[in-house]
Amino acid sequence: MELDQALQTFIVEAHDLQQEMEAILLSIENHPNDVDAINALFRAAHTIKGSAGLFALDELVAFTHVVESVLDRVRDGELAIDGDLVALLLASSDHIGLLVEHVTRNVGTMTETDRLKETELLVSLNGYLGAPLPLQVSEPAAGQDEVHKETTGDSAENDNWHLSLRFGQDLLRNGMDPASFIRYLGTLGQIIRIIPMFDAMPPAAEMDPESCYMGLEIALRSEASKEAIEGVFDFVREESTIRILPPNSKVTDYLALIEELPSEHRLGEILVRIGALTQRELEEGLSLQQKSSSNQPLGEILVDQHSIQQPVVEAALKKQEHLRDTKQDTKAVRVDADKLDHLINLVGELVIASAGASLLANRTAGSELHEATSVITRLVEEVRDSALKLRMVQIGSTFNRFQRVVRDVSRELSKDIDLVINGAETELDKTVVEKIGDPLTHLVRNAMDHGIERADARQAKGKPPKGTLKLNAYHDSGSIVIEVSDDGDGLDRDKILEKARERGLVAPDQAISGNEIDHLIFEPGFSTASQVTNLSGRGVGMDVVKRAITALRGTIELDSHKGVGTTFRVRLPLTLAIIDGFQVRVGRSSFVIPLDMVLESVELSENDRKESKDHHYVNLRGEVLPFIRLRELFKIEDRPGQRENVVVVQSGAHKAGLVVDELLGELQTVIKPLGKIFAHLKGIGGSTILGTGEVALILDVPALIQKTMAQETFQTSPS
Amino acid sequence: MPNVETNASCCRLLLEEEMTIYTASDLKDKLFAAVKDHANTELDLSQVCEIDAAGLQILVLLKREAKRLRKTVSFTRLSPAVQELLSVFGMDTFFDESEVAA
Repeated sequence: MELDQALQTFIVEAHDLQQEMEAILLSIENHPNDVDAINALFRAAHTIKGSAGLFALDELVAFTHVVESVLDRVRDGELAIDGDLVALLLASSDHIGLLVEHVTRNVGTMTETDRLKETELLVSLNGYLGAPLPLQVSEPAAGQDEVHKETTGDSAENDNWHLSLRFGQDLLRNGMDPASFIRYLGTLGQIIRIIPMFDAMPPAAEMDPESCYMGLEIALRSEASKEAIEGVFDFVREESTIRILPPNSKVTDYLALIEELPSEHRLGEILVRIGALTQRELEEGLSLQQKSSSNQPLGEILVDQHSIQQPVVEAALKKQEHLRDTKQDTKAVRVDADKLDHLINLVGELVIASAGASLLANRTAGSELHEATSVITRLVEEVRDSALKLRMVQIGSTFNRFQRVVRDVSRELSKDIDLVINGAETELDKTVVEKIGDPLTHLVRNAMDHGIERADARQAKGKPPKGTLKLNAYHDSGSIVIEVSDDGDGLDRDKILEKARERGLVAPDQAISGNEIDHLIFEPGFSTASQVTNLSGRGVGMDVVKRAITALRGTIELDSHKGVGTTFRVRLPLTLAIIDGFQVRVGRSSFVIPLDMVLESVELSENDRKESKDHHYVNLRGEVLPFIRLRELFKIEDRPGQRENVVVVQSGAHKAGLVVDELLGELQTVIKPLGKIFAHLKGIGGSTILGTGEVALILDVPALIQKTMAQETFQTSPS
Repeated sequence: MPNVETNASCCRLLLEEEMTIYTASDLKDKLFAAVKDHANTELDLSQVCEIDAAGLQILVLLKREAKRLRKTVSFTRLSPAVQELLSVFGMDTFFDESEVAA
């Protein structure tokens, strides 16, 4: 294994563990006596520290060590979990995240502010410890109280783990250092004694100075589990021989060890020296070995003689192995997101290429070719679907981030708010997940700030003093729906209407439904907060949220009931890579309109064509429909067609018409982003390649609709 | 590697700053040549600021080889880095005359 790769693994794992710590910390406040959670927390910190030790990330080790020590006291019941401790640990967890981040970006040192923060955290953490605990490999202290356990007949009389390590020859070449394993092992417990073995080293002439010939016999006093101790050697397990005997192992186990490892008789002496066996135990064991017939392996005979205990041990071992197996079965493969994107791109190309092939096949007479291409098309569709599925991730991790947000914000606002999460397992495209975080955060903060009332106000209304914020996700006909709902007071329609009239968004005498009033909050610059708080009311309003969601080709709507609460419903496409499109033609150019925005299409009658020469609207069944001629918009100078069609599109509450020459029908559209050069182009959302190899531009409908609205106001205002 | 003092039977070497896998190959050749040519070799470890298991192995082998050739090798003025590594591996007394696991 290359070190770089190992480091990458470490970074990913450390990141996951840090997230896990945060998640546990957030849940632990409500269940301070959850032993499992506390243990899991300790383990997470411990594992981060341990792996960091292997890579000599000293800053991370030193800091995590203190965190771990505090958690150790919590685990032992010496410290009680309370809000302050959780807050401190959360901050510490953040700091660990930061340190891991530094490793990721290969930043050597912390900034001055970070260091200051670390010192602050360390001071607070040490406050919980009573005294700073230096990190060191301790030698057995004189006069240390020896723990004497009742020893049964054939158990060796010692309380220490015994580790026999024979490192692989390539260990050093692979950039590992045995010393770092031992230093790390020292953090798991106390290294009582350690004896190096160099008997594998050949005579000087044959010795390769870059090979590792080292072995170690170690007596370790530790409360850690066998798994944890084994974990120290995870990175070298494959190439090295590692034997770990738990405390009070049977004499026979030690003898088996002597037999297994090549150092033969000397190892027996070493086991005595290290305190694993007494001289008497060794002699008795060895004499038993001599008495037994020579053609039967020692281990078997001894096991026979102690058959009472063996099944117990075996059962335990089997269980352990079984646990490890199942763990490996469910293990997912980590794939670089870039590789996945590359695959999706290729699949996109494949979709285009196969469309081209079937187009050709259709032009050619020959039913066999038709058949072949139709099979290919079907397979390509399946490949496309499963490739897109690969990029699907559960929304749960995004939701869980809000545990932290809700906790922090409710403290800040001194409101008591619970977060309830439903549908965390709902999947959606990773790129969508990444982009939905910010708008969701805004919705959540908004709900907490404006939606949920203060405890006294709630009690006055007969509601429970604790507010509830719900995050819910589910699939609904090809899109994912994410709901953010609160059980607050609902929107204040009178206030919204008043404000809307003030700003001229609604005419004074205009009749408007309650739901329409609610949706006014998505208008730019609209904020009803009478009180500017730290959180909202900074001019970033719902319109920003709406724009962000529209940019993802999603929609947002809301449902509000006075005194009961408000629900925001965000609807997003499952993927951003491939959509159903509606292909149209203007002159010789093809355009694609996202199909879910198309309402209908009608032919522009001769009469309308004449009339609409001057103005840009038509009468659609008694309704005024503003439109845009794509020919004019994109300055296409081909000869106009005989006829024109209007495609009626909708985005949110607004409708508009797009005038085109010809309607070509539906098609699977692989969205290709346009280069940066075209970023300023309004009205174009991307491009796609048609089966014929031609490029078609994908229209950005929301932007076009806005343009028609602006054009309409411009034309009507002078009159 | 500067020879601080040398004559037909005795050689005193001041070891370089780094004794790691990167220098192990060179180190082995030079040290073994020195041991072969001199009855007494003294290695001054005061300047060693970086040592890893590869460096340690060389020293262990050197000691073993000297014994085989009936020569003497002594290690003097252990730097803190050397002492630390020895203590990690429980070899604090390794460079005293007592025989330890070599």
